Amino acid sequence: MNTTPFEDLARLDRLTHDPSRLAILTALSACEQAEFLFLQQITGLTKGNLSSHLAVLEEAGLVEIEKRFVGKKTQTLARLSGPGAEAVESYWKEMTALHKRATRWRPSPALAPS
Amino acid sequence: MTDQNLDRIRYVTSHFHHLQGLRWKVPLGLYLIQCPWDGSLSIWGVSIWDSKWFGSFVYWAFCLSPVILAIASPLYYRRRFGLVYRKAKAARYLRFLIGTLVVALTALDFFNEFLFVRLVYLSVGGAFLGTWLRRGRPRLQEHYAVLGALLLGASMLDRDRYGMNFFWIVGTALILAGLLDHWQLLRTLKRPIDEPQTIAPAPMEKLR
Repeated sequence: MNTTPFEDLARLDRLTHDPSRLAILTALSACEQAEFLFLQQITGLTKGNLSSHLAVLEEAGLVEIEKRFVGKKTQTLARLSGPGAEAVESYWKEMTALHKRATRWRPSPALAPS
Repeated sequence: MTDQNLDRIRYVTSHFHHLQGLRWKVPLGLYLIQCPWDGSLSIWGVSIWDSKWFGSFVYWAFCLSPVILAIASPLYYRRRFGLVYRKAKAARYLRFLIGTLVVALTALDFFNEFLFVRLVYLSVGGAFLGTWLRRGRPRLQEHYAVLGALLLGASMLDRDRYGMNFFWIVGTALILAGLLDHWQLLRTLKRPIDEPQTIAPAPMEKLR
């Protein structure tokens, strides 16, 4: 059965499609590793929100978190894992394909207003 | 989250080190500006050397500011924005390119000063224009196109060898590029918002 691009859009993986998590993944895909403070400023998320989103992404295996001590302070670094990089790449491929389909899409004659 | 926001995130993260203008662009520009300075600088016809203390203060401020800025700015960027490790491939390629250019120009300086000045104009102007084109001609970085065109034009118009023009033009272009890059970083990366206090403060009666 053929589906419309909008139905496919609704079926996208919520894990990566969530705006905050997508922002984190986009930032991490543009570098090797980034510190928590930088991610907080670039995404505009609060400390608590960023922590919980990173925890979700780490649990799903998309992000690797490294904690280390610099003097007396803890430094938290995040990097995209192998599956994470693949997930971001496939997400954008899927989105591009959906965008193309959506621009070509016309409602079927049965649904069109008479 | 709009596409523009994601583009901005991708752009700032991948060019984070290049946007740190106070790190080397501004210090190098300040250094170039003070290079030909023999103390003949005057303000409204009065040489600053007429005042011994003020003169030496300005002189040392000009000489030391690039060094202080180059040492202090990495620490400032690290504390203010955090750390970002860029992809190893891009960093190696850039270091190799800049290293080769500096060695070639230094070698040329001993043989032909006139050609050296032309090539510095061309390479800095070309680097500015190349940066703008390579980054996808972003509107926010149009100053690179303007400064690059200005330096390429100066390579043809300035007929001096080591004239004041050379140092002032290249130095000012570097300072402007550095300050504008830094300003963009400040505009994009806002200080984190403090979360509201979730724990209710203790009533005053209990504290007494």
